[in-house]
Amino acid sequence: MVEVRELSKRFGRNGVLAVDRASFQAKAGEIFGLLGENGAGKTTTLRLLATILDPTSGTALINGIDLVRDPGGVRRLLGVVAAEPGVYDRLTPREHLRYFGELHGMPRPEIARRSAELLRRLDMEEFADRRSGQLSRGMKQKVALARAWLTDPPVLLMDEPTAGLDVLSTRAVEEFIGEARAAGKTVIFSSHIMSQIEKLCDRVAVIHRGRIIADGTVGELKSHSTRERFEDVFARLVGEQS
Amino acid sequence: MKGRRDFDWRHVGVVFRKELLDTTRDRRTWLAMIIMPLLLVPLLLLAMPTIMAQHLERVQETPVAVAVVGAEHYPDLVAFLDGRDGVNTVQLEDPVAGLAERAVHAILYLPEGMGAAVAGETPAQLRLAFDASDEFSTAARDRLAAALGEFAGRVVADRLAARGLDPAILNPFPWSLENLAPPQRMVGFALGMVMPMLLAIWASTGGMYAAIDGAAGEKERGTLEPLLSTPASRTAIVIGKYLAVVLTSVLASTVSLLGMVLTFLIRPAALLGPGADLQVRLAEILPAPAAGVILLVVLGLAGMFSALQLAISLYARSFREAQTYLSPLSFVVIFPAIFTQFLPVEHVPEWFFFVPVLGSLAVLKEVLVGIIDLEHIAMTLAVSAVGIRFALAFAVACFRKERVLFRT
Repeated sequence: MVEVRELSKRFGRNGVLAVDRASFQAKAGEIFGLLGENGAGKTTTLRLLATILDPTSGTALINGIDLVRDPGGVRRLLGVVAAEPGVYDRLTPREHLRYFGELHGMPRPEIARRSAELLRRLDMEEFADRRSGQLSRGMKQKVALARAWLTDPPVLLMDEPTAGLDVLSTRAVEEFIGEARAAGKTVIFSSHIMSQIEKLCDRVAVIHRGRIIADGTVGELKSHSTRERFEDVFARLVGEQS
Repeated sequence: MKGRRDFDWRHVGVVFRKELLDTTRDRRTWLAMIIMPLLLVPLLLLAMPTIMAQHLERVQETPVAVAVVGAEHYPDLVAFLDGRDGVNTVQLEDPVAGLAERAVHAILYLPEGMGAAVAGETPAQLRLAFDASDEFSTAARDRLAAALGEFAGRVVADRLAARGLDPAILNPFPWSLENLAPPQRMVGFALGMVMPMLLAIWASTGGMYAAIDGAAGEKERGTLEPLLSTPASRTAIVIGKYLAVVLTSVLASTVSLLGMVLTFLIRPAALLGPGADLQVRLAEILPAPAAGVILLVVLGLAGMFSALQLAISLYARSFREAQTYLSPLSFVVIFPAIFTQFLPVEHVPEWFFFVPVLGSLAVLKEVLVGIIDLEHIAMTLAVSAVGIRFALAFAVACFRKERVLFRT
């Protein structure tokens, strides 16, 4: 469970307020969508939750652990997938898993067992021992998914994980997210693709210029409007704020 | 402080091993770390002198053409010059243009009435023109100067003989040269010129690619974010990376030392000079204590530069930008190295040992000449230790700064 409380982030002393007193809750076994245009503050919010950035004010509890007080403890509970797969060209997928497993303090045999399982499940066995520099973007994103899932973390943070992927790879990522929910994990998933949010998410927060302007299930957000299409709902919400 | 509380040496080890694995798979590092340092010393000491000697031989074997102006004023001298190997005299209408076009290598002007002057035992002023920008012209100058000296000697000998005097009276004490420097000192002198510079350069740049890859490279590939969201603290990440860069740098220096040893094994004369006693053993050139001190000094240099390189390349947005920022850093070593290259060990001022880099260069020079001055070594290592402390703190601070990490 992720509980975000009045979380704010300002870059520089008088700089932009990238996240402005954001509050929301994402429960276990739930896919929580962060919907917003580019530059709305989705990535900054996720980076704050991943403790990569320090909040200017406010905090968040990840499974009860305060990320301001114990960032290291929070990172133990997280799996993170970003828009960029972020793989080392000269390491193989299997070596990636070993590296990140060791950073999480997993014992070697456990890493080997989990890796084999994930490589099979994500259909990566064929290229598991090939240098990542030779892999396609979709394959690389699978490495990122396996890396995030390796430690079986209770919380997954995913920042536009399907950006730049082809149809099949997008489907693999979406299936992965579905499995994470089934496994009882809390998934926070950001996207600017309305249909994807509508298809996958149990609940959604709409973020605009750093502020959460609406929060609820897709159905609830739609019910505030007479319009049928979620795109129209989003456009109206954002339009009201501008 | 964020990160410090979560510091775990195991994370340092994990990051260190991964960086080494990554580095050993990078061709650029191999080139910068092993191949270049290994081959540069043999190239400098074996190939370069051979090529230069061959060139010099070619210059010496080529006959020079000398335009003689006023040859008719003293045909005896012209005949003498023509009789010498490697000198041909010619007559030209415009000798200056001939010299400019390199048709002749020198111009010799004989004054009017020279024959009478020589006969009358009054001085005759000659003029020799040459082109200092042309090696063959310089060779012609030297050859002519020697020939003129020899001819003048003959004239003097004739004059002395006419007076019934022995020419030996002109040379009251003939003397000879003898080099008493033991071969080890000779080697030290030669190595003291080149090796400190090379050792320092590799110590400070050998790990550059590893540093760029580990900081700017992580940013560019988007691997920094996943790495920062693992339980490893930022301090542990920096130190793991730092140790890998230091090891790479020290390895580069060690390999260049190995190149030197290799040169010695292939052709001892390259280090000892021709005609030296070739029975000198390696242990005399590089005794174990000297090798130990070299390693420590190199470690100090590598320790400072690796941290700076990591910090600077983390500030850069891309691999290429990091390269641009880091290139000037090598001048911090190259300038003092050139500056101290020709400075004799005995004349190194005491304050050198209080200055980072300068002190290291001076100690390397001392050690290679066979001097082990514990005070100098201790001072230099202490200065390096302080340098490392600050440089590493700077690198850690950079890894904690969002403005540096996410500079766009």
